[in-house]
Amino acid sequence: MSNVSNLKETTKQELIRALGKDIEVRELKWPRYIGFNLLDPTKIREVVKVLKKLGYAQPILITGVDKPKENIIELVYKFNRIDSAVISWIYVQLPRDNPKIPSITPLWKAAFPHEIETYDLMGVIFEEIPDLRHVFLPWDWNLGFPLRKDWDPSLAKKYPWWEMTRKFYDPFTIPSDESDDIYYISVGPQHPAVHGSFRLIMKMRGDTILEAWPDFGWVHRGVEKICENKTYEQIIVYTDRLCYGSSISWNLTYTLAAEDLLNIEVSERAKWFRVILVEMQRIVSHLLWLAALSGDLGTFHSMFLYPLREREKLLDLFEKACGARLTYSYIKLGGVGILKHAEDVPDTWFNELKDVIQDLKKKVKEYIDMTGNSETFLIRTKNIGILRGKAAIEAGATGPVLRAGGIKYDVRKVDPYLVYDQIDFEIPTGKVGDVYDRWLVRINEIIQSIHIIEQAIENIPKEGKLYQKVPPAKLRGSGEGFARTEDPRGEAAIYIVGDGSNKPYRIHIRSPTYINLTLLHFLLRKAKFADLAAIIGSLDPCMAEVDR
Amino acid sequence: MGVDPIYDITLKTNEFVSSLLNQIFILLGIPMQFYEIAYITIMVLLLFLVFLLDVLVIVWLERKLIGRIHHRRSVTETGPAGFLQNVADVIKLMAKEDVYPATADRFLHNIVPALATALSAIPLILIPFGPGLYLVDMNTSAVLFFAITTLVPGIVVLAGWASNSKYPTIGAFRAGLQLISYEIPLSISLVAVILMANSMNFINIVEAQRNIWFIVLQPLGALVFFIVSIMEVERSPFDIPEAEGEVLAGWRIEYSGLKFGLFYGTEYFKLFISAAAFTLLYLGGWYGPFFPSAMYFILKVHLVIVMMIWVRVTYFRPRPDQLVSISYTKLIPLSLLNLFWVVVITPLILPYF
Repeated sequence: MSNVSNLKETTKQELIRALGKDIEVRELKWPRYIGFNLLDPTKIREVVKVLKKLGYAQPILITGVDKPKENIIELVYKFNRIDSAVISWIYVQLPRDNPKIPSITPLWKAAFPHEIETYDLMGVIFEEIPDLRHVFLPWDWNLGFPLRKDWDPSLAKKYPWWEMTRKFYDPFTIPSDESDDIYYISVGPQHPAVHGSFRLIMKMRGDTILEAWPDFGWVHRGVEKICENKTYEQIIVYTDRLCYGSSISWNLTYTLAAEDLLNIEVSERAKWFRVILVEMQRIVSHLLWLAALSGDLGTFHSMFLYPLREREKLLDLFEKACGARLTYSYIKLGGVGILKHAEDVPDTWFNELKDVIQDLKKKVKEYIDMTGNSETFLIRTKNIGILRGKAAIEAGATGPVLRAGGIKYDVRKVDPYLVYDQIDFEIPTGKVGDVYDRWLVRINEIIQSIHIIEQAIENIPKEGKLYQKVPPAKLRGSGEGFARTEDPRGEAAIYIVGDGSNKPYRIHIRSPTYINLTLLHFLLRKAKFADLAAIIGSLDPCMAEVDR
Repeated sequence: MGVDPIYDITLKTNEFVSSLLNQIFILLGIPMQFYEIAYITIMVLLLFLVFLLDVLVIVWLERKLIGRIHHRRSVTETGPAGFLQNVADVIKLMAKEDVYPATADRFLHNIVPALATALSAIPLILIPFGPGLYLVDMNTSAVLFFAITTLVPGIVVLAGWASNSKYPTIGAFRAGLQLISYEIPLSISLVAVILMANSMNFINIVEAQRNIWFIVLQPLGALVFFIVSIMEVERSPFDIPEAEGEVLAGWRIEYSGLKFGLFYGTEYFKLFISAAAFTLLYLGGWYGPFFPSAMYFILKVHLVIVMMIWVRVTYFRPRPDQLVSISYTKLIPLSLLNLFWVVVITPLILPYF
């Protein structure tokens, strides 16, 4: 902890030395985080320069909270570190009628997706950003900003949605002065390589991609806005639908954030059981990913079916525990359970889990034989889509994509939640940061997750209730709640602002896939058209989570 | 030849067709100079019918086999063990609407599927199925056979071109790339076989394998030919022109309904014909233990097809540029090595067999 307090102290001193009266310390309820109020919005770039010099890694979250009563929009920047749990929170207040702030994208590429998202839905204009446009909303949207509190939802009906297809190529109209051998091609929204629906507009010469622009928003449904009209318990159902591959991880992320806001404690047994569930989900997600990547690299390959076979066994266990196979809603405020039947899982369930895991250990070796030891797999995955070291941090990658580049960064180790500080596990890393290394990291993560589950089954306390009902009076909170977890796809974070009612005032979801997919702009440069599927597949896209 | 049921059936069919034709010709008073043409047409159609039935079997075999390799059950519902599923699929495809892109060349778009089917089925008449069981016996049948199969990728390029949109065009050019990759090692391997058999006739090539099959004498050539056959029929792992995850269905994405069905059938014609060529060139055709029989030929062809299906689900697809490099840096040297082996070394050891 001394490391944390030292870092906090240096951050504070350096920032005050550089900015003087323009910045002041803001008290946060978390001892490991440090907050500041930036009084002069135009100085944000100087703050960023100082933080970058101090070794802060990424702006993990940038979002805004609309406050019509005070006539301001409050921006929150969060900067994390690779080596420590410290996060610097910078609050900036902007006037509501003309919210303008210098963009930090020229200094820190990773800020780009957060900034355009904030512009898109909140209407904050970031000056000097390379490409300020709508990302989830249609390109020519001019009917207000949906996440503002006074936005009228009936406006959405006024937009001519049926004319969308005509505007397909709109912002990237093909320049006529380009030479003949350059052409543009649209990959998606309906294309097997994009794993859902997003679109890549690609500028090509022959078989080589010169430049690619990802385009999101095809399944955007405004979960953040919906959540503002739901009670804290109702929101859990929506977090399931954030990603079909990791629904229980999102359950957990939201529940941790909401419990943080509402000051709810859960029993030790529930914490350990949550670890088991989340690690099972990580295995399920990685198996699905392995199947999808194999499906991309070969037509109806055997490896498309084998991981799904083992995934079924884990899904059966989920079904036995909570009755659902895909959207569980199992992790609840106050523990783990199905609301009406708050029963404990039987001991036989743990025995079955042990058997499945023992079987999986052998099967993982088979997968490695089928993929990593196969020459045809290696020639397709080695040395393509390279992103490593500092460049990966700079670009904003998290999760397996970052670790494949050789960076040992895992929220479970850096900022342990639940009981991860009592569990022994390693962080698998790659060296080159290519598609093969991402495969390697994920395969090793399956092995590590098996290891974690084994420890958790050993150590889970027999006493204590899994679920304790929270009285409705406690389900009202004000202030802030924040939680970040290691989702199978990267660093997931949820930030909640409460206003004292039983519904959140503002909720922001940091989707790791959204940030990772914006990397495609860099990863696909000079790649071959045939590598497209492998590179997209290696990022493990999940579009429901991107277009949340 | 009483032990060879296929030969017997063919002989009886032949007798039946000729006597029937004779009676019809006499009854209707048609001049006898047309007899030969009518006879050949009917026999070719009969052969094609049998061939179509076999394609249905192959498709079913592939589905079941891949299912079992995948740990699934595959088709089970329609007919015994799902055998009639293919028939149901054909009916479904025929009932579908014929959709074509607005910018397509309509004449070409309509004609190309039929062209592809015809061209990929023509080599069938050159295949000798058993001792004395063939439609055409010509001196250069092996060369003509591969000359015709080489034309099919040209049709594929045409099919992509006729669609007049981006993905089919990319797929078509990939097909062209594939053609220049496989054609050279294929030809060199074929030359080695022709030199060893001292004939360009399939029947003579098979006769030359009476004592020992060529797969034993030139295993390298057989290996190269097998890989190259998979490239030729555009099957996974060399399904580069129609790679699902990359260029969708490649050159055939704009073909739906019956046109798609024709292309789908073409794929299996090509599969059968490649497997038949492999059997004739390397596996001793109709020769087997005890007595030569068309049964052995049919059996071997289907075994080769099973091998190709097995390969299909085991390996990942290379990139187009990697395909060319595999072909030019590995397959061509290997086939040249095989040619050297056949020309220089085998003559020294062959007399001992």
